[in-house]
Amino acid sequence: MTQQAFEYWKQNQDPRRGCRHAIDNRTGSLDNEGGFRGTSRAMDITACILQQINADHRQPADVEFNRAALALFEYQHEHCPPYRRLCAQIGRTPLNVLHWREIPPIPVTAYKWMEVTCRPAAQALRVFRSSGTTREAYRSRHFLFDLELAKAAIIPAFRRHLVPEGGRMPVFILTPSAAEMPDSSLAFMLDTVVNALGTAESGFFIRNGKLESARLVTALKESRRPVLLVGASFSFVHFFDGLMDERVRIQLPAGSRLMDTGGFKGKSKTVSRAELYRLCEDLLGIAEAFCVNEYGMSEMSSQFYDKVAGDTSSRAFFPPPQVRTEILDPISLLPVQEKGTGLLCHFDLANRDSAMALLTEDLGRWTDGGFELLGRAPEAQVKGCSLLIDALLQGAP
Amino acid sequence: MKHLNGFYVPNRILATGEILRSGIPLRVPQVDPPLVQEVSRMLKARHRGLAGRPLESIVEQIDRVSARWLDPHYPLRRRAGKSLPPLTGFSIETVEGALNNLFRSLRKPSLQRLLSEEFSNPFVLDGFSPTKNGALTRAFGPCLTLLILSGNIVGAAVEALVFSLLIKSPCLLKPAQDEPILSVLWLESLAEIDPNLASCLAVLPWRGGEVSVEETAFAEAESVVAYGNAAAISDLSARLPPNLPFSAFGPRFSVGLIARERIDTPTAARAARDVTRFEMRGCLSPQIFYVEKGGKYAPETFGALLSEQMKRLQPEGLLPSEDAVLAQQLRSVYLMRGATLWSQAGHTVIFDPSEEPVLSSSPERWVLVRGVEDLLSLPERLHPLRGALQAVGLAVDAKRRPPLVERLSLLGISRICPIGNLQEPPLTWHQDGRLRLADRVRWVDLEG
Repeated sequence: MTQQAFEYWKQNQDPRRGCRHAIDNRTGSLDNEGGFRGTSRAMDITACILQQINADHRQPADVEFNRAALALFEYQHEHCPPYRRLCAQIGRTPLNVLHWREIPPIPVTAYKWMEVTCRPAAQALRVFRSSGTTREAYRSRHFLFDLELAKAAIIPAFRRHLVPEGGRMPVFILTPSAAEMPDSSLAFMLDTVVNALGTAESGFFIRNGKLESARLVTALKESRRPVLLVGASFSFVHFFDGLMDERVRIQLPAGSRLMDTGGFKGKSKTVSRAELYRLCEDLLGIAEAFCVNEYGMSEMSSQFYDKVAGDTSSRAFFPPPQVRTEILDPISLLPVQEKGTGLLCHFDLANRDSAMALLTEDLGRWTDGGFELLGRAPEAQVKGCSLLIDALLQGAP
Repeated sequence: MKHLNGFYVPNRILATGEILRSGIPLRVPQVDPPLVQEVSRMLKARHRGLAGRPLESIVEQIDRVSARWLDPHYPLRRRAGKSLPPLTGFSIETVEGALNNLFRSLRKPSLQRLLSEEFSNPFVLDGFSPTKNGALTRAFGPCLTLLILSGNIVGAAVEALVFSLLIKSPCLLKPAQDEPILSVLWLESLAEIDPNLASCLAVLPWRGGEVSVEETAFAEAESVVAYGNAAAISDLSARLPPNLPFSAFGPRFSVGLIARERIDTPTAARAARDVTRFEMRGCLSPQIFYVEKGGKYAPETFGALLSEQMKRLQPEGLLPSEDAVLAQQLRSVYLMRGATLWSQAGHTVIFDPSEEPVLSSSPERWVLVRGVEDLLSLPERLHPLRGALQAVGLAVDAKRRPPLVERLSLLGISRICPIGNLQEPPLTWHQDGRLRLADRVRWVDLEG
């Protein structure tokens, strides 16, 4: 039997194979095409992911999602040796995984300790690094090889939640630009947003690490059209503090909106999100219904939003069509009971060359229409002197 | 349960309130700067009397207390045995074993051995004595030592109090927040035997870092000895008056080295003893075992043997590590490196075959086993751990020992011992590489 014939035979022996290899069948590429296989498969997968990104978000097509997820799992299993080892240890391979829920997730912390990538890290076009958390001295690295795909994953969901009426609007950004912070995934995302949805007045208002409040106030006061303010939550706190100190109030044109992201951890001042939105209404005239919270992470390529700007329904994060989210028990890693609290586990198709299945350290709970974010999993209450063994072990061979 | 005191102040009645610690009701006073000042001054007033007391009689009395505590029916020992497990989180076996070890080492012969190790002539503590060159000199302990304890090991506070008595230094002890009682119970039994000696020591609990209380204590003390984590130590040293002598015992850990010819069950059993004794919380607890390749068995085998022996020593039912999320995440990261994991009795043994650096945020009760080509080349690679390593446990044939010991001793460690003995250091051990008594005295030379 020739190799090709053997493959064909195998394909027909396995009833699950038809479904999983739909992409290959459709484009006519077979499993065993030597050197071309990786590239052609990767291209097929990209096409498939793009199809999911642009799918109708109101009717998530689980069959197509599953097909794409399984193809991507097979690709990542093949090209990421550490991931293959993890799968082997828990006995999952592309041969016995039938549904995206069975794809073994990689913990986000792995991005700190190893290169989670399906291609040589040296060829990456961009590397996103986490902004540095409390516990680890190491920062996670997310290697990107296809910036077009990364941008494609950002825009539809952003538009749907923040500019649902379509068109462009002035976007004022409270983060440094991507040119200033090339390793920030947030800066990259907002750069992409400005290019796709912003008008000429749009701009970044943090330069050389400093918030340019005066320039922002002038820009806001001069605007005759509804504006979109975006940035990190703590930057808004900082900005609002300045407005209060100088007793400045601005009534922005109706339809103006705000998107904030991230927590207040490690920052000098902590306010609740409700308080932040109250200040926003008070100081800028943007109603709470027009304030949208974004949840994203440098290890992911897609983002979540907790409402559509202007919509008065209750808040909940809902995954875009290229993502599925599960809430897992931290110990058993099985899905939690309805309304139970657990770790968020995302299956993000746009993470094509890193880890599609990602187990986060974020606690969440299902609510009506999506999930609710309950913050970081608490750090251990360890006792005694090996307590800070942590830091000591650094550098041990 | 009868009330336990969370403080000891001799000859003074204090208003106390009751607090609950791990379900144990404790009586404690409100500690404020005036109280600390009053107690400190009262202790300092005892210095002269204590300095004039013969060393021999101090050793005798400590020995008598230890003899009582070694009797399992002694009421104070029974109270300690009952309340220490819930307070510390250690098992009854661990607590009983630790108490036995502690009081066996605080007997007359080992106390005398310690004194003669530290002072070529211990009688310099009693009066002016001739040195070997014929000069006269005398040693005095500080007129007040402030002792600040952390709670990782059972008995550290008692040992520290005994050391202070041996150099005849009155002592104010701030016990660990989780476990303030053992030192108090020990002082109560010292007071039964010798109230005069017990009146040179006091225990007052306050929350670590309480600035006004600690400032008062610093102002009164002539020397500060502190055990604690890195953050607590650096916080203290930042606030100390510049000329106050300070000995800090910060966090350290230990490792085990297993030669290729010693990958066997007896070695694993001894290693398991070192791991389980204080639940890996002490500075003598081994966190990593380096196992040599090229023997009859692969290093991975040692991981399996170790896990099996730990299961024997520690019955199932011990709670898993509190940090389940971290554990779960790191489990996967280790698996991605190709590691093998054994989880039993609340402990996890990991064999990590990669050459990558150790994942620094390991949860509690995770022991790492790693393979090395040649033990002799390992010390070179351990250099980044200088300052963090306390001791090395060895399982290696006698003829290979000398060159290895030679290289290990340059790593800034304070002890090299056979695997299985890590948790039973002799009283004479130079913890953190220092003298325990002689480092803390002042010398007065007499001429003419």
